[in-house]
Amino acid sequence: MIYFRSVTAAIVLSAALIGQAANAIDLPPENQPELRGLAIAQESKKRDAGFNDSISEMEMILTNANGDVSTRKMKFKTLEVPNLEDGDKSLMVFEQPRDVAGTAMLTYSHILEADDQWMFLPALKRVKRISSVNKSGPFMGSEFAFEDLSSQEYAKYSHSWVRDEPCGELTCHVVERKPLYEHSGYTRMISWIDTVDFLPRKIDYYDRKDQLLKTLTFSDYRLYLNKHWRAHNLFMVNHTTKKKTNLTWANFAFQTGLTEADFSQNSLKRSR
Amino acid sequence: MLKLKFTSLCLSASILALAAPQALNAAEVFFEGELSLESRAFLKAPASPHGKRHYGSVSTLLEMGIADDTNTHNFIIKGFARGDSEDDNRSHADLREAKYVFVRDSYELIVGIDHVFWGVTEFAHIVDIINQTDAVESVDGEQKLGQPMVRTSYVSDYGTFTGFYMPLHRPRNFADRQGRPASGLVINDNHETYESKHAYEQSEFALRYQNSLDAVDIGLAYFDGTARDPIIDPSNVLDGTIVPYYPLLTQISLDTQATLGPWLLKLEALQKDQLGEKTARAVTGFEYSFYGLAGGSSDLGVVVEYLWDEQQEEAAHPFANDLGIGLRWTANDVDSTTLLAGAIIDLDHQSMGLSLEAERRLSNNLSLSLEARFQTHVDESDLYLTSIKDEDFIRIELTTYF
Repeated sequence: MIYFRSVTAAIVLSAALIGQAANAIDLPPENQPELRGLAIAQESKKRDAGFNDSISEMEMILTNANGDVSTRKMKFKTLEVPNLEDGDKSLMVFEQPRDVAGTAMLTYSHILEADDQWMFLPALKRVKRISSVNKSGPFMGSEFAFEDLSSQEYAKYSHSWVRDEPCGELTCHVVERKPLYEHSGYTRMISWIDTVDFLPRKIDYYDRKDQLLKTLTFSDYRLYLNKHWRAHNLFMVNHTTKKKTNLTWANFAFQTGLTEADFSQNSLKRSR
Repeated sequence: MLKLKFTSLCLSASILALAAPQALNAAEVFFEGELSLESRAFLKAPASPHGKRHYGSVSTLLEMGIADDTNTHNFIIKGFARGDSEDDNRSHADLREAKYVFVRDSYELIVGIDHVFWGVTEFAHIVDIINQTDAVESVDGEQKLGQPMVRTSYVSDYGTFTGFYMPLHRPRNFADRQGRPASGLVINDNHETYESKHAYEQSEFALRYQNSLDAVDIGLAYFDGTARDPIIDPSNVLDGTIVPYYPLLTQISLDTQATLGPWLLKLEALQKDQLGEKTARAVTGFEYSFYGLAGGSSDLGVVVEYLWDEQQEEAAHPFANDLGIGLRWTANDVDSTTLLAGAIIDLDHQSMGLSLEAERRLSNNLSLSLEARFQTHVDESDLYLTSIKDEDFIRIELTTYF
């Protein structure tokens, strides 16, 4: 049986960062970059609050430097946890590649402590509690690390506003984030967050030697329930290896009535 | 007769599923399968004139499921079949699952044939008792026969409670005279004897409690039924083969794991009451993972476990005072390449068995696995290993999914 490592399945790359086109908010002044950076992240979170739960499907297309392609498909369920100490709960089930179809991962994410994670191995019917310290490893051979796919709670990072600048047709707040949790593969990330909806448009990741390692670009944002924006396309390029991963989301559904009972080990065993 | 019973159980499960009106509004139907080609080569000549050096085989696993749009009513059927070139007993079919699953909020009811796993350790699964081992399938005993049952679970804030009723016992299957690895004892695959006067129709019950408390996962279980491990008495002979004997068994067990950063600390322990004797058995150890080896993206997991049985030489298995050491290397590449090396050392006899397993995906619908098992040292006083010391083999399997 193939053992995945800690897939932090808490899906929602975009989840922290959503909102409606609202009036401009009063941000702390530019001479207080930490407060200003934190306020931008909090505003993103606030605008997405109240989605309760969501169901979605993800496809990843991995391309190496020679142009060889491979595909992964997964289904996700997420439960919003309103408690500020904890991140969301999620359940992820693999559909492709076929040799791992039915393998599933249950995650109770936390802010600074390690997440609780259980993996279901369908051939053995075994639920195995796994270590979640492997934040920086690649998810299923892709250019996304586990920490890139985990619940993006603002309290996991320190924030510092750098500048505002044009980003495409929009204007973006450029904010530097540094992970506060252990075992990160990054010294820092530079994120571009638009000034209208407070959505992430681009993130540069800097490795442990502070070299630019990867760039993630968000596109195809769509609005759900008139409140929750989700990027349907996330494109990650690794500048060192020239490998790319294109991640697309589809079939989002919100407030479907999922409860805690849908995120138990029993539900993990019947997740297929 | 056994097969008839299964069929009637399946039928009642299907009737249950059909009787539920929502199930007819099937929102989701899935069908999928896999087909595997396997080749096994034994490195030494067989001890028995019936044995061979090489065995070829083909197997298939087919799975079908229907669920209504709320996933309240589900019906799942999963069948397995293998054809082996030499071993008639390894050529077999089994309904791994054929069940109706009802889910509402925190309740779950399952009626039919199912497969359930309990436990946390890697080198032996001692508390895992619900399903019988499909012993012709693999040496590690991880393949299981489907078990007919009625099972109900309740998930509460204080943990998950599960009750099992099992109407019949499934005997273990054994390799034929031609089969390998061979222990020198040929065990009858069609006849068995039971302590219970109801024989295989002895009703069985089990209870399980499971909870997760921060870093600690814990499972407690009680089982009352017929043992899964038969007693092999070479004097109980029929047609030149040994007839296995299944005694009644009651067992209480504990399985627990503490997950502390890269450390997994594990314990499985049980007390069984069989043929008027109460004995204890345990497996304990740890798993530690090194992530991002040498600055790269591969991982190395180290597993060390101690296996103990109060019955020592009287135990019905060879792991009475043994040390297991395993290394699992995960490349984390696009093809999910993994390598697993394991050694099990008998601390009484200093015998050692080695295993190597490798897996790799060849394409989205094709994967390859390799397995090799060797006895590197066999002490003559070690009866279990002496019997299989010339049974080293290499197995290669190619699986396609459809």
